[in-house]
Amino acid sequence: MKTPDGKTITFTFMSQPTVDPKCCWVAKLLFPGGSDERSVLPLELVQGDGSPVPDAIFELSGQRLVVRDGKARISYADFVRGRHEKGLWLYRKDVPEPIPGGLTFA
Amino acid sequence: MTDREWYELVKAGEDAGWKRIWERVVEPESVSMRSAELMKRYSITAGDLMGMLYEDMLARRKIDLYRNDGGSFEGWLRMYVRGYVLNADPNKHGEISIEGAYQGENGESEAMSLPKHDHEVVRREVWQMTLWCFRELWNEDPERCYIHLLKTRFFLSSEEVKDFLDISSAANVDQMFSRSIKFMRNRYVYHDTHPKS
Repeated sequence: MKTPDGKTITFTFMSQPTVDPKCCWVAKLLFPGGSDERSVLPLELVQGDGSPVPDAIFELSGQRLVVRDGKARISYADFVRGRHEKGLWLYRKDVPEPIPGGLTFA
Repeated sequence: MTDREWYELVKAGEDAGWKRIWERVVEPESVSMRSAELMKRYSITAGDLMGMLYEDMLARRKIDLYRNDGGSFEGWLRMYVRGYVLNADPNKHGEISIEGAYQGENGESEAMSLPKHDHEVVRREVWQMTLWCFRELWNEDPERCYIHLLKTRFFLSSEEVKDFLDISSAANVDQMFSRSIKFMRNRYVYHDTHPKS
């Protein structure tokens, strides 16, 4: 388990369209070059207006990650272990229904 | 049947050649996302398209313009059919022009290129369909999406993808990538021919 040296990979996940643009979210998962199974990967989440997602729970790779001020973390090992998990959700206190999303080409 | 055999049958007005045109060109185009809505708006049926094509090919001898130099005969015919749909402007009182369909030679290409707005619509449709198919790929298995992205967006080699996602071998990566391409291609064709699904 290792990312290529000198290459930063970013996966961008995006919510499905919602009526209220504020409920939309975009999450970027960063893989710095040379990461290995002990690495912890940073995640950045913003909402529809571009501001950081306030306190929330983000479900990715079967892990429920705590989001604080638009930032979360996941271990590289957990991400790889859960790479078959389809569930991708953002749970927010101020939004009654969690909003699902998917990986994009961005 | 080779393109040459098909071409000869069509040129001779044989039923077998024209039946194949109906099955492989006119009918699929009439239900495609690209044309179905325009046809509905302009009240054109697949039968109308078939009639126009028949008249152009045989009565006006447009069939003689086809050069069997490696291009697909089916693709060539489909350009004509798309041209009928795109140019079916009701302001022309029902007159149909195929000016936009045939890419000629000797400096005619600019005058005969398809309308600009259509390129934009097609480009947007293709992109939306691609995203849709990618979403379906995610629902099959997210790992395939990750492999797809690492190969096509970040240009990682199979060996690098193997290390990245801890997959057993590079050959396995190649196999999964090949399957994901095939899956997306099949879904694309399916959605293109079943616009309401």
